[in-house]
Amino acid sequence: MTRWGMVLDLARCIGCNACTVSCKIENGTPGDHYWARVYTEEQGEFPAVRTTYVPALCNHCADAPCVAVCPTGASHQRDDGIVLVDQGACIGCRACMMACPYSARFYLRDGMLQTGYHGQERTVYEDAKWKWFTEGTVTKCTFCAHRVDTGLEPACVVTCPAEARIFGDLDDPESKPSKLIQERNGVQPLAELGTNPSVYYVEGR
Amino acid sequence: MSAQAYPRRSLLTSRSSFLIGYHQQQEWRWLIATAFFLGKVGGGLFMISFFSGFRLGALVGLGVVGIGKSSAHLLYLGRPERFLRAGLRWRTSWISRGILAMTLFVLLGAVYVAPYIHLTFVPDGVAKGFGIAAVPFAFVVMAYDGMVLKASKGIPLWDTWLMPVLMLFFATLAGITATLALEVIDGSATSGRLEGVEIGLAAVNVLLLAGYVVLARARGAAAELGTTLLRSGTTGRLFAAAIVVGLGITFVLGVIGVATGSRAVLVVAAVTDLLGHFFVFFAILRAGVHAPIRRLPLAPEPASAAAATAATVGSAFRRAAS
Repeated sequence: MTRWGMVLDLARCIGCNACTVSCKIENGTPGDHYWARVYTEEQGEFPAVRTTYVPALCNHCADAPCVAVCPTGASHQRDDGIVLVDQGACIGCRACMMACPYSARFYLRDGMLQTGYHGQERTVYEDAKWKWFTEGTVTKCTFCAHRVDTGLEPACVVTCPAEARIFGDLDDPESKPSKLIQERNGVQPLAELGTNPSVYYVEGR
Repeated sequence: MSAQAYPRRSLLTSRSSFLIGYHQQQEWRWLIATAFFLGKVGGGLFMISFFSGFRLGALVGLGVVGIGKSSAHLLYLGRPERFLRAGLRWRTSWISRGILAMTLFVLLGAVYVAPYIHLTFVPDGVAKGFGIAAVPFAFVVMAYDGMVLKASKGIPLWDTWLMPVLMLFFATLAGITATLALEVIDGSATSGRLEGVEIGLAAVNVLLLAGYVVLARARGAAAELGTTLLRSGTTGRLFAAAIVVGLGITFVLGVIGVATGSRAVLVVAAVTDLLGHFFVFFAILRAGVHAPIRRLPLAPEPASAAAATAATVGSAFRRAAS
């Protein structure tokens, strides 16, 4: 059985946000819905400050709390572990946003699809991409399921110039992410919550 | 733990900032607080009125849930036209369970109050049977919102078994005060026992709330930051005022009511209780804080003026640099 997952290499991430942009282009997410983010973490006090870039996305948890709390089944998990939201079934109760410990879900407010990203008329590109979205529902990272299903890697992975995002099958011990997790002691974010994320972080070598 | 060791409010970031940090939830506010409130009041009122044999109270309780709570939920939903789907996932979702319980509660309860509104084709014995059947669902309506909050793993302040317990106790108190007030307004005789329970429950709720806030600090930094919000700033002032009005004044009025036998005091006590009750849970919703995806150290507030100045200069520098 395949379980898609990702390793995020904090030692490699340079904070360029190319993943953020490529995700937005690939999925055409409206407004401030950035499914692939790069957080900036500052440590220390001036002048001894160190910055770490922390890429983040939906963790596609094996025990996803967002799926459990969804009253309609709109949030669901595929056999390969990818967690999706059925835009046609979501009622916009936002319980999944409260349940997600990683703040990886976004609410599509009324009016967000009426005007384009730049506040004017919608572009042809937006018309094409936004037909997949419904106002009053919740959106989230899909692990680029439409690409993965055709044998491609997610857009954020292929765009990353530093190879900080590594995608593959976590159930295959020979896959690149599985080996990285083993070799460099990969850790799941907030693992103590028992959500069993499919995203791991590895730090310095 | 000294006050200075609490996490700094300044650790809160905007969700859109791309800075790693804690952020307050912005989605569940007035309408959800109203829906939760009406569920507790309606369920509690039905429950207490049923055991007091006071069918007007049961009727009002049904209306509060069937019309008030449902409307608040429908107004909140992003796609209200799909609301029927909300009952589909009762195996895992407390929202689904609550919707189903609400529906059964209203249907069964409606048969219970039918003779009271002159629908005489329902024999009284049958109506009472339906009333008994409605009671467990009223119980679920009173407490399930607490389970919904308990299931919110993203907000550690809510993720505790104390939440449904709090909801149940506040719902019971609201049910008692509302029943007493309605009995006074209706001109019915009050039982005399409920007034004593009202006083005791107000005191118990203060202790439960204090225990909730104190124990929340042990559930991680985000919960601790949530309790900081409950103790300071606008949310803190609201929370404190709600406790004083909703529990403190209700307690005092209850004692005065029992001592003097004044019935008017019971109506005022119901108003203070319900007001405080609403804002206690509104404040708890507002104080919901999401944790960052990586653990952040919780620095204490600057202890001295020099440290405070240094921190201000540091943050000004960071702002300028960004």
